[in-house]
Amino acid sequence: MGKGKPRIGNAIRELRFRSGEMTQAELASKIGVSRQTVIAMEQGRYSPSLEVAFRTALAFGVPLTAVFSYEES
Amino acid sequence: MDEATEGSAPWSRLQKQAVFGLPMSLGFAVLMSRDAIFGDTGLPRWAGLAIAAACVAALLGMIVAPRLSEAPDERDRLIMLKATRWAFVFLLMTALLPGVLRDMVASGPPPWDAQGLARGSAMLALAVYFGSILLLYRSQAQD
Repeated sequence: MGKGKPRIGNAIRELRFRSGEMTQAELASKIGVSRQTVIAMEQGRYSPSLEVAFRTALAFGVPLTAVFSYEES
Repeated sequence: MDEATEGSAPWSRLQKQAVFGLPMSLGFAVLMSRDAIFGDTGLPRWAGLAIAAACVAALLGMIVAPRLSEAPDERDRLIMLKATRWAFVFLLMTALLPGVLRDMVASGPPPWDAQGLARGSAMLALAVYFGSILLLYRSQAQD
C-alpha cells in the first residue's frame, strides 16, 4: 500500500485523437460538462464524478478502465 | 492552434462573476468600514463617490459579463462549495473570534466599533469567496 496521494491518470487526449480528432468542445458537449472541465480532466487536475467518468467512457465507446487508471504513488 | 489540442478554454460564468465581484466587495468593504479605516480624518467625499461608482460598475459587470458563458457543471459547483467554505471560515474568524476572545478576559462593551467590524468582515468574506474562486480555478478543485 502506497503512502502518497493516489493519482488518477487518463487517456482522454489519446482517445480523442483516435476518435477522429474529436475536439474538446465536442467531448464536453457529449458528456455534459464545460470545455474547461474537459481540459482540467485531460491535464489530470480534476477527477470527475463517477457519472461523468462513465459518460466519458460511453462517448468513446470503451470501458471505463480504458479511459481512467488508478495509480498508487 | 487546432482546437483538438488546445489547452485553454473560455472563462466560466463563475470566474467572470468573481473577476467583477472581487473589486466590488473590496470597494464596499472600504465604504462600509471607512470610519474604522480612516478614523477622524474620514474618507474624502470625492474618493467615496469614486469608489461607489466603481462598485456599481463592477456590479453591472457581474450581471452582464457572464451571460454568454457555458452553464455551470459539477466542477464549477465543487469550486463554489469550497470557496463558500473558505469565506464562511473567514467570517467566523473575523466577526466572532475577536469578540469571544475579548469576552474571555474582560467585560463591558468592546473598545472597537463592533458593527463596523461586522459589516467590513461580511464584505471581506465576500471578497474571500470571489478570490478563492479565482485561485481554485488556477489550481485544482480536488480535496
